[in-house]
Amino acid sequence: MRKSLLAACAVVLLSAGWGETGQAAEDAIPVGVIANLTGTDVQSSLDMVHGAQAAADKINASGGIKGDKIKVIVEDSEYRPAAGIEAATKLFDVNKVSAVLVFGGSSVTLPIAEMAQPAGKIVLNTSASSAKLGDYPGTLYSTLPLDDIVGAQLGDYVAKEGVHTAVFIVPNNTFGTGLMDKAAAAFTAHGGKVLKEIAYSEGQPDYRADLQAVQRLKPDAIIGAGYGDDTRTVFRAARELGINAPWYVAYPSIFAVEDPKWMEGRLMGLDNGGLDSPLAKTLSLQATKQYGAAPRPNYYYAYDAMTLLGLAIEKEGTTAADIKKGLPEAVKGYQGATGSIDWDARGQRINPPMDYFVFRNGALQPAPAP
Amino acid sequence: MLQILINTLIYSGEIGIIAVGVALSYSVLRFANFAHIQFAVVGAYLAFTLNQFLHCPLVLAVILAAVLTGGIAVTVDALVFSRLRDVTPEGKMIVSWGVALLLRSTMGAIFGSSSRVFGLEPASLQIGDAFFTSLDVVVVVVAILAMILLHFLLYSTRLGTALRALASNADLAATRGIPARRMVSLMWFICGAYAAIGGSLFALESQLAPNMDLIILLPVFASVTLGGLSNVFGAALGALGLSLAQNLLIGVDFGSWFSANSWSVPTQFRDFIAVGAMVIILLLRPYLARRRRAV
Amino acid sequence: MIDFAVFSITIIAVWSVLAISLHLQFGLTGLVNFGQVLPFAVGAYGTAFAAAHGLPAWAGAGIGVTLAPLLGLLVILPASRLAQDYWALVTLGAGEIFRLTMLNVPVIAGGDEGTSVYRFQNADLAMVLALTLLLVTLLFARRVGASPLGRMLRVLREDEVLAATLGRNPFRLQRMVTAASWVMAAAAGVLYAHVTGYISPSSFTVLETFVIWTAVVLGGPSTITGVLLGTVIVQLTSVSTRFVAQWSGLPSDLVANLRLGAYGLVLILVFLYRPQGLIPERKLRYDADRL
Repeated sequence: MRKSLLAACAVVLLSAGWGETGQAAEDAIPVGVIANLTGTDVQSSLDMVHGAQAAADKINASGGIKGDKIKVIVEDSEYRPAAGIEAATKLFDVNKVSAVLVFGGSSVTLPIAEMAQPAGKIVLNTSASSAKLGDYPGTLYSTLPLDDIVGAQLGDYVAKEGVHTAVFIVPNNTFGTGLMDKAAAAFTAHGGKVLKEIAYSEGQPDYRADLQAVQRLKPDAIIGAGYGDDTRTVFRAARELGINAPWYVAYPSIFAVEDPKWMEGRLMGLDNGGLDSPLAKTLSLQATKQYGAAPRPNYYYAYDAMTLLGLAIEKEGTTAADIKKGLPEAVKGYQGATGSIDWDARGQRINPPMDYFVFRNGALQPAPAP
Repeated sequence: MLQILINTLIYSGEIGIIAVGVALSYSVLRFANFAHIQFAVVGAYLAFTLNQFLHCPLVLAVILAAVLTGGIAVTVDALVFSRLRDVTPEGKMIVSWGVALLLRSTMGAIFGSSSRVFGLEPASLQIGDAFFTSLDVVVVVVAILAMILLHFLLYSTRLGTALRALASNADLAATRGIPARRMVSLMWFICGAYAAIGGSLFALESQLAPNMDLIILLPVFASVTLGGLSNVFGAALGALGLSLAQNLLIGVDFGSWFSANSWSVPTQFRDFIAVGAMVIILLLRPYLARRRRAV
Repeated sequence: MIDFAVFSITIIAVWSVLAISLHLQFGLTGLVNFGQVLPFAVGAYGTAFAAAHGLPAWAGAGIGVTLAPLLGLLVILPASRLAQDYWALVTLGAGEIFRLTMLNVPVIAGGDEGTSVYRFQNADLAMVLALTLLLVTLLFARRVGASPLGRMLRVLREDEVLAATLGRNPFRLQRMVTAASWVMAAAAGVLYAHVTGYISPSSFTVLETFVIWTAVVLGGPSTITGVLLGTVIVQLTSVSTRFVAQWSGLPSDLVANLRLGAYGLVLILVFLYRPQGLIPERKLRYDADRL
């Protein structure tokens, strides 16, 4: 008897709690953020959440949107499609959000877009870059350029630097192999020759075995993509194996340099431009003060996504249909943390400002475009 | 080729120290202990905390972490496994997975899910055309010393004799007055300590994350299976064999044998080799055992 | 609220089918399958393969549901020669081999990126289908459990030699159970693919297997009510973490870690204090004259 009473109490409490979350959404504009708070690549994910929060705070501090504050609701995707869908279903249905900002690989972002499309909701992509994401016009908008654009530019860049033979070294995931495919196509179109494509498993203690072929093949250059602490291990393996070819990479800012002295002048790459703007610098300082470290690029992508969403809501209204109408207008003339944003008809970023970098004196320094 | 052998030694050192513990507990307690992998992760986190937050010198930090993890292992045994004597081996395996989950999430809750690095800068060394670092030398030396110490413990002390007696016939050992309870606790201590050393070496070479257990799990269990599950030094040899197979398959240019084109097994098949070896050896096991009996 | 409830019920139904499948293998027959995610993945990947290669959805379902029992028969083969814990490791390996193959051979179904498959546009329909599948498997499992075959399986679970002396070939029985229960799990996989609309390797790790095991062990592996109760508890815990995180204001990653820790603790505590699970098997008495 006591047990069933307890159970009944628990049910009442739970439903009371649920009712509360529903009501809290009334007096604010709820916006969903889906990020992998557990699983892989958590640090970049948290940076993304912080970026979205920073933009929302800024809007709220200046009085909100027509008096209404933005309420950010963060859900965990665990870097798994099923959990991502569960999070999106909850946000759309329970919290009644019209739009979600998503951090996560394509395997998380694509299924969310797949379910948001028939539901008539809006997805703002701040990290995934598979070219397939362009298949959801009117649903999915990206604040970062997709692989087809960055990969092609990387391939062009390497070819224009006078490189004839190259080896690719990328992590064995969608981001790595997607960029590799596009960059390799552009590179070979310019007459370059790809000697080998290496896709390494993440998290290994040592990549010497993976990189040994490079030692033998002696390419003019290594073309790469990657992020986080794995890149440090990869660089160490290359240095130890005496592989002295220069590295041309996409997004050098998310690489972890292992030995600055060895890396001197050896790491080059192209990154999303605009991060030297006054806005980006202010944000970087603010985030460094708040969280103790300079944020990764996803912070700025999320910041731009949230700001654009705010502008769209201000222009048209809070429903998903309003936002869909408002976003293309909001983006016009917008100077964000990642520069000006041009969207094509699909809502994907084209002609992104690209900056070129070379690693010198312990940091990435601007380099001339090819 | 020399490079491949050196790579093999380094990786098998890291995996081997962890694998011997799995084999040791298997030989005495007769179940595959998934929680053992997590001891390695816990040990690495303890070493990290001692070194980075409490500013212990690294060597001392690893030794203290090994002792503490040994203590954790003994506690886990006292609280959980010692009370499950009558449960089937499969049941114990499931419980050990529960212990692993609990330890893993505790690490995640305390340290967060993002990865951390020790940030060592080891010196580069070279023999012929093979390259390695001072840290690699430390890994291999520690692994060899650990094996010698373990051999000494098992074959030249009364503890070892008692443990081996327990492993071959627990009932007989108990009737002959061997204090089984205390011996098993000691065994858990050794397992925990060895796992912690292996985990720390692994983390020193790469990075530290709560989910690194899944990266260690497959090669360790593959090594233990290759060595015959309950054979402690078999597990070390298994680690060596597995590491050699992985490095050979990934590192050797098979394409050049047949044509001018270079081709080797794509590196993403690394885990594949480990799991594949494990399954094949398990499947062949009944036949291998029969042949051994016939001889 | 309703949509989310419908979605949650659908997912719980899918996981319940997996749990019943494991109930037949482990609870009734005593087979320790640490690769329970494999038939589930095969079902889902049959669908994904069809979608990636322009085949109709029914063909995908057909591939998944036929391939799974065949693989099951392959995996069960060595069980006759291996001790249960060795066989458990074989199944664990088999599951991982399948996942790694899907990950590293993108031709099959998109590699790490995965593949979009047809997604049920009507959530209610998906729920009804999932509940129907659950009902069918439930009735089937009950039927098996209550039949002479079920009695024989329990004998087999307790004592293989005894089963053999009763003139039954224990391995034939094991094969039958495996084929049937892997068909169930594959069907759950097909449904899961169409509910989520997206299939990628990260949904089919060792962790998934142990989520099923936690549910089954918690509820009581030998009773259908038990495994259903276990699944509902485990899945509701998982869903409610989202609300707990929001309501308590604790960081989500802390709450997620606490949830995983709770699963671990449940496994340990059940084995220590209630090895038969929440709903233990009743002792079955048969009237010898009526047999």
